[in-house]
Amino acid sequence: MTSAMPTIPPEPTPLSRPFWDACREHRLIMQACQDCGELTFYPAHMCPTCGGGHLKWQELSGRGRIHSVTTVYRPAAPVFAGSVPYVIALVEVAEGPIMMSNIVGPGALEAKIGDTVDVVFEDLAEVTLPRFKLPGG
Amino acid sequence: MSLRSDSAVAIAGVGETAVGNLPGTHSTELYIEAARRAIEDSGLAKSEIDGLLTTASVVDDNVRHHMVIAEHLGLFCKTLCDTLRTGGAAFGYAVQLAQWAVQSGRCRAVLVVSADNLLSGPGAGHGVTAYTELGAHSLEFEVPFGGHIPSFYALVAARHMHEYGTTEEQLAAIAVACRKHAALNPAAQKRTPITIDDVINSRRISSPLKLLDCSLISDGGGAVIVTTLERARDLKQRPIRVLGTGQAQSYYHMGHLAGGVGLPRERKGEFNLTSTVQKVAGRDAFGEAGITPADIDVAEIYDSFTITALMQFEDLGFCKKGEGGAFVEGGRIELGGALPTNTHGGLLSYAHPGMPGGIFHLIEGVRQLRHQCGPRQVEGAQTALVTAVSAVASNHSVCILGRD
Ligand SMILES: [Zn+2]
Repeated sequence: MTSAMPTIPPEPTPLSRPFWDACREHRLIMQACQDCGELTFYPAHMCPTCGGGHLKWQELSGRGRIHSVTTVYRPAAPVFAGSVPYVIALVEVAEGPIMMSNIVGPGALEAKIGDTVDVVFEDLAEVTLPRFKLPGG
Repeated sequence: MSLRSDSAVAIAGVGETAVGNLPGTHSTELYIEAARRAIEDSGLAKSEIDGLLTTASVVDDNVRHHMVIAEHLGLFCKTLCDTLRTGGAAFGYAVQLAQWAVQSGRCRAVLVVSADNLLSGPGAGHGVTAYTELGAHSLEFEVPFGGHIPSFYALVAARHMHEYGTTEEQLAAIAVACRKHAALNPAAQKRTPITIDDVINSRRISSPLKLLDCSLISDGGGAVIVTTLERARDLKQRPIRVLGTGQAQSYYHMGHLAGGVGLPRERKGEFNLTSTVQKVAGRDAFGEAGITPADIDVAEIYDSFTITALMQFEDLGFCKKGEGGAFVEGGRIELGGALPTNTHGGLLSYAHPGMPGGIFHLIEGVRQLRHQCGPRQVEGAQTALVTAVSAVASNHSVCILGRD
């Protein structure tokens, strides 16, 4: 097991704090609209689909599917230099929204569009990031 | 307010600095040089300019950037003046704002100017990092995963390849065409011809994009002056008419872009990673101009990455969605082909100083219609299409120009 890829840590806002706090507890949560039922990500003040104002945090299954994926060879910043090549993906979570993340673990470099993935929480000093792995990875 | 149909608008002057590596320059200096050259090119008196639009600077930004530039130029009272925050797409919006201001009579002449020194300025060598730190992408939900602009366009390219079978060789054909044209342009930053294999074998950046699929990092600036056709006809240069403009913007976060978040249910799927709101900008620009893609003689298509350009051929209606790969093959977009594209070399080979990138496409479109382009002139060109894109396939603008 190699050490987790580092990060440029996010700075949570009062709105997003529950999401990052849940990640710290290894739970993936998103807001569900109590009016239309759609889930939304990233954290929002109103439902971007129906305009409703009743959003409630809901725990997700942690399953998703790769919507698109790229292997990065040129790091985005010096902090990532020791991690190349690394994999960035847009993951469509089973409950609907599409989020950016990394694919990590065995087989990550071979991940392709349409693959199913499962969330894995990587604890870093500043933050716990929700990343994804291939089944069995 | 309705626009007066007799108030046709033209680009009366264009100007640019040298581009490439300009060590020791300051972005404001490049701004002023580009502006001076456009004013001189037009023959307009500086006192006639009552509109100013800038696009700020990544390396020397100021929240009132437009006022700094106005002071350097000595433009005291403007009736339209602002800093556009729409990145590479800003120049297209600027031309449209200028068009509206001139048509409505609120401005007599609008100077649109943009410059930066991304290559040699402070933070040189850290262009991508500096751009990231500027907040070009979501600092909370994208940057923590190691994303940068090439990786985000790579996600678009990978999806396009998955959906439509587009190949890396087809993407490479765009880079090859741009370089072929740059070889004919003494001002271009990269002029050594390249092949499809050179692109395929260049250093991997973010799959499927290689180094030669990515635009340059440059210093430089450019400017254009928009005024009434009537006024332009009395000036130094042949006026180039603004026949139609369009703009459309979608989203910043890639997940929102891919999912079409907020679209009514019945319109879900109309826009996604590979089908952009450039369709809307193009529809409006062509609609205003009253012409179709088949009427375009020369295209200057924003090419931050090869995929950026490829999708626009589809979204603008030069070919069907998914057929962009086949469209760019076989020399169709090269000089001598059916749709010569990026005749100055584009962002891929002419220069890409960041915010100003798109203004060189506009300047080249104007020069092509003036028939001033020498060995890279599209014979007898009467119409040009110029586009700009920013913030990863989400901010789009289109200008259609015609020879007066
Ligand atoms: Zn809702």
